[in-house]
Amino acid sequence: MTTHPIGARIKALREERKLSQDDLARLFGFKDRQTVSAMETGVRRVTADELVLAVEKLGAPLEYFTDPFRLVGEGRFSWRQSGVAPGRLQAYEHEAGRWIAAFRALAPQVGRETRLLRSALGLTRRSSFEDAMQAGERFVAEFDLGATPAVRLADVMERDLGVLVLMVDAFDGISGTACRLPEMDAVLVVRREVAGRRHFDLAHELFHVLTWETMPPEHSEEAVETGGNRVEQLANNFAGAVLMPVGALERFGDWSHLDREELIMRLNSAADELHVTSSALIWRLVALGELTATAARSLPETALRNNGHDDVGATPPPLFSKPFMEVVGLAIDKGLVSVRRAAALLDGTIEDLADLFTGHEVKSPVEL
Amino acid sequence: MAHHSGPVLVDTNVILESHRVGAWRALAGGYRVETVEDCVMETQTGFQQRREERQIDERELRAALKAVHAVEDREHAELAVRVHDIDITFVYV
Repeated sequence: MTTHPIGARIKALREERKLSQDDLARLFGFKDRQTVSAMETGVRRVTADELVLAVEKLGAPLEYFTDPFRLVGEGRFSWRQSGVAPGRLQAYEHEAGRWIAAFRALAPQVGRETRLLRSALGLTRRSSFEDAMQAGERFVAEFDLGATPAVRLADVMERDLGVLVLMVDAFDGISGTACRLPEMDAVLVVRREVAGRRHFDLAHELFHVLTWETMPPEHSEEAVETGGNRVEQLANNFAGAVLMPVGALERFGDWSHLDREELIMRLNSAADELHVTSSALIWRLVALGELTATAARSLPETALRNNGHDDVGATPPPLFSKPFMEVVGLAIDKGLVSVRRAAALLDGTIEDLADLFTGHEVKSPVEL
Repeated sequence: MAHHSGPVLVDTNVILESHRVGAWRALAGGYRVETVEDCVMETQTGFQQRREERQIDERELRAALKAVHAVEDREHAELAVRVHDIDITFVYV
């Protein structure tokens, strides 16, 4: 059965409006703040009259309190972005929250329960960069990610760790986000980024998912492969090791005796093979002591851009993900959500929805 | 065969789909079809979610319907808080 956390949403809106429980008690005509507290924590059921009062007194539409396809005061996000104004980020966060909330509401009703237990890395802010890299190496070995870890990373995150991974479209400047909910984690990656950046974002956000309790990330951080605060640097070192473990780099031989042109060529071809960016590979090699930071900085950015290709030209992956579309399909099939509501949720038409099912090789639940 | 003579309450999906497949006249002509104001509004405001939207004439639609009920926030709220007690799976229409 579906539950609507009306009380929790009243609390979230009260806090957003900077009202105390006493203030709300007066607004609602309660005799004390304990009644508000009981309502907010779910000890006391919100009545229809109180819900109408909330609509009138707090100035939010009824759907704010009842729509299960919405995150209200419960999701914590960490964005990778460059120069995006807070207002735009907030608006996009609302949109992204709808997809995550819908998955959270529908998945358990179609037999895709979220995980009871969460995976976590035993790292803290005091951990060294070497610790983070070692954790990345062990992650690759434990989940058998093979010689090109980027290829299976999203699948492992979804199937083995229970993280919802969504490929999304967003406006310029946003690279991706990790979202922490009480019941589940989600990672959103902008699908039109070049593949190497997408994979790095994914591995970086994986670090946040696995260390959220000990090192909660900032709400917004610059999307760079080096630098940032301590947690971001740990995340970058972890991501580098996950995508470019020592075992996978060995096949490219020694890097120290190459002349400049050979080094650029090998960096670009190795980065292509590993599905990473040349710049991520360079900084991984620096971290491993295979290249000096001075040598890395002296390489011309233009020769390494798009791993040396004039035109990236690759087709982006389809929107969202196969497990996500499977849940949407099952929910339509069970009559939990209408085709139109599903299409609207995914910001498209019914025909777009049909294309998404086809793109993910998910059987369409109805004749669309 | 027994013929249902009571009201048949339909939502936006039913109205749109029955127009799309050409079944609206049969449905509205054979039964006492009723809906709510929000659904009529949705048929006119891009809720079709189709690449090519079909024009549904609002006046004709209202004329074919036996009743169009106005639902206030109070009634929506009543349903929202009672959903916990109703033994049905809540459908996100």
